[in-house]
Amino acid sequence: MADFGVLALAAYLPRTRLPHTVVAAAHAWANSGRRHRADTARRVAAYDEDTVTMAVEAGRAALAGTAAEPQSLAIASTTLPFADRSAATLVAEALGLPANLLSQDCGGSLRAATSLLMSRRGGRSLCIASDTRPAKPGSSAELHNGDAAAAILLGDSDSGEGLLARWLGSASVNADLVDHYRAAGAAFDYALEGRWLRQEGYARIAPQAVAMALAEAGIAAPAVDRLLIAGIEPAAVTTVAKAAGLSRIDTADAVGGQVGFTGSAHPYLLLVDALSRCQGGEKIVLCGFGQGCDAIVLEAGAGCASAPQLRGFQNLLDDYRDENSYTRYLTGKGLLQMDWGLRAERDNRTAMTSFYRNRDAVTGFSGGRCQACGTVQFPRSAICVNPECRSRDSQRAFSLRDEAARVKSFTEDWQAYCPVPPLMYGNVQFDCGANVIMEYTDYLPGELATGQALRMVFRIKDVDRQRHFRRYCWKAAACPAARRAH
Amino acid sequence: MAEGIRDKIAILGMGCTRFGERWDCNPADLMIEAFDECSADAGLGAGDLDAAWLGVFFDEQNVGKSALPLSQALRLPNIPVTRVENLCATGTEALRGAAYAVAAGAADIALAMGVEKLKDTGYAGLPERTKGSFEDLWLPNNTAPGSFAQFASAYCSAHEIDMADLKRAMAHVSWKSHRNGARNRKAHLRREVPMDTILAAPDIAYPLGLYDCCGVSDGAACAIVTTPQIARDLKPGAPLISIRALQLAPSNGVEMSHASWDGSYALTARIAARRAYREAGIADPRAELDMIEVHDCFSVTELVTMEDLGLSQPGRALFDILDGCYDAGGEVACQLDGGLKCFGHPIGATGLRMVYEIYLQLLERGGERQRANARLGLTHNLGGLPHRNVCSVAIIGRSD
Repeated sequence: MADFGVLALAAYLPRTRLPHTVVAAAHAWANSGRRHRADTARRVAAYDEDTVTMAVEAGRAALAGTAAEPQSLAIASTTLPFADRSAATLVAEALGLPANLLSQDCGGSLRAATSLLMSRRGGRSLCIASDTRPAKPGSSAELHNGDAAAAILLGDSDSGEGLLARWLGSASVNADLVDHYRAAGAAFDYALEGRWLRQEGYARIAPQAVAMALAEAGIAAPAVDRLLIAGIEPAAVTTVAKAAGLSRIDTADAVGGQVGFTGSAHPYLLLVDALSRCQGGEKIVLCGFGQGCDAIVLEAGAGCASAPQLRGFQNLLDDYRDENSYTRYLTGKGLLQMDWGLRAERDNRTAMTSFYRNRDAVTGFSGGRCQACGTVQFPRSAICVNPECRSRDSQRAFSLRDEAARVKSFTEDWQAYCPVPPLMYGNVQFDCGANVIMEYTDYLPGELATGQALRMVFRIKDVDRQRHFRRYCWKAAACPAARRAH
Repeated sequence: MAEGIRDKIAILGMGCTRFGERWDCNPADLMIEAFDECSADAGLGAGDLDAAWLGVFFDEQNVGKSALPLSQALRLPNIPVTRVENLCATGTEALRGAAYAVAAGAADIALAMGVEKLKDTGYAGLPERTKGSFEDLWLPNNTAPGSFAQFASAYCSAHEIDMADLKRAMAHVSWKSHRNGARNRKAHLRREVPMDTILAAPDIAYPLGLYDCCGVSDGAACAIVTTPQIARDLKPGAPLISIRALQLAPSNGVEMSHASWDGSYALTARIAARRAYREAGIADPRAELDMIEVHDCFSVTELVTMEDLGLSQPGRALFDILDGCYDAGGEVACQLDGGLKCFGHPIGATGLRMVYEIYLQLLERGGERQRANARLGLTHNLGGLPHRNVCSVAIIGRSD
């Protein structure tokens, strides 16, 4: 019988990092006693990112190089942009996955992502966790929350693919402990004292789940090498480990102090981090906590740390730009209402009929490749754009999503409305021959230049504030590899 | 190839309002102001017109759609009026409609009117507009300066030019136009601007600074056209001002979707100019044209247009501009009236405002900015964006 477990996994971290010193300096007048370390920070989704766009990036990274498409795609999050519009379906279309896949959104608790894994014990499933938990300015959560996504592809090893981690067992304990909550429609969490959560919640509930999961796995507690628990500091993890009878465990966490607590995405992120550093054969217990606790027992696959997506995790951690403006952070989060003038009144009503029939172009970034002359063009059209060709109905779908491209022309537009100005856009020349005018994202003024290598990213295009809708499209960002080389 | 309209249409009279922030005027007032001058010049009234064309761009916050705004404003005797819109070529498009009607023999006397009331929007710059229900889903929410700024980075790449050098040539473009506009009582901006001020202005859309951008204003301009025979009959002994060419070239998607365009020039302008020179019988435009009014919505647009019109060699416009070739006293005077830079750009009116200046110059009515021995002029509009636009070129000449 084939082994079941993790076939692939990858994380996505938004590039902006907000150092805690910047937040503390902004609030010093109101909260001079707040303690923070000089070297800690959190990741912040860009103004045009949300849980959907981050999920696309994580899913894309996890699926890169995998042998077959998943049979299901599910997203776990407590901060999906729509209460009633399937994020998983949107993400599947952005990733170009088949229409017949099972798609599902999961939420309701920070434990949603581990529960999702436990519900996918068969078949080939792409599980994505993505969260951008809101935090009031001045709150502890503002410092300690982080925005990120991560994706895990579960499946059997019978296709010849090696497992990065083998599934050994799992268990759940449910307990309606309300240390924090966010009512439907509320903007922020209401949170109680953290000490209660740690002592009465984590330290009492998690050990029960761990013990049951180990029993199912047939593993003795002392055999466990790593305990991964989302939402608490390494010291508190050690307390849980002791209570569960675990010894010699590694509670090192390269993520929390640099990325923040990323809500439902955090267990996946911790697993990415752990597998990127551990030896094959190590026993890992992964916990998700929220009105109870899920525990999943995994065994690291041989050579897991050398898997391409895991080797890239350190690059993700290292590839950041510190946000030095607290007001720009607030503006990007929509927490500070700046005056952007009358242009911000633009009506972004979406013609849903047009969106539906054009969504392969808009969501899938699918253009056309002329079968007569080979010209790749966007958008796809009835008549080939090549003046020397002009063939009729000759184009096959061709996605530009993963095509290499360069900056052909650009501007930094201070007149156009953009929540974090300037709006940058220009002509993008793809190596495959396509030419598309696109928005540039994740750049600061002065960073763009013609000839720069680009990578396509799925981002929020416009927000319709009147109708509470948002639409997405593909934009061009600096190619991380080129940026590192630079 | 069709023989074209060369020398089949004469301009009998023209009118142009003062351009500017006309807070006290409705669009109808502007149309009447332009028509009164035109009517007196032509010696004809509304009752003499057989047909009329109205050019308006922003119908949503201006005069509304259809023929009615012009027909009502001038109380026209229920003659056919056609409303046209073709981006920044709208004014020239109105003239093309009137000219074609005369050339076809469908009308003896036709009116082309362009009007735009931009200052009712409440802010500087052009109003936001939809690009289409599909295009809005993926095209950037660009502005006009941001879109035309694309010329600059692409031009620098194409010709291996340093941006600082290009900025100096762009500044010269604006400096020259402000100098010309200061001598025009109908211009909106009538102040010379020192080069240092232009270069030190804040960015609107990199690398375009404030003075690289044209103003925003209200205005109207119009022309009455007829056949050369009728013109000679009505004004015996007067010089004949005739349309030598009227060409229009819209993009077909090549610039937007095909790698053959490098972004450093306006493909449509090259096509329209080539056709216009052929229609007008011009072999060497730099030697034959006395003056040009080009679409200087932004300084860099004027710069690349000098190459697109075949006046400067590719990559040489920058040097020709700095050498003063297109200054008022240069080889080919460009924007003798101050251009969009000083008139602003009430879109429907602009093309006809350009023809108005050429018309004045040809009739030696240019006052202190009169170009000596002006016999042949060209107007050029580039509407839309570098990668997706409509270009019009008109050539107007004088015969004695």
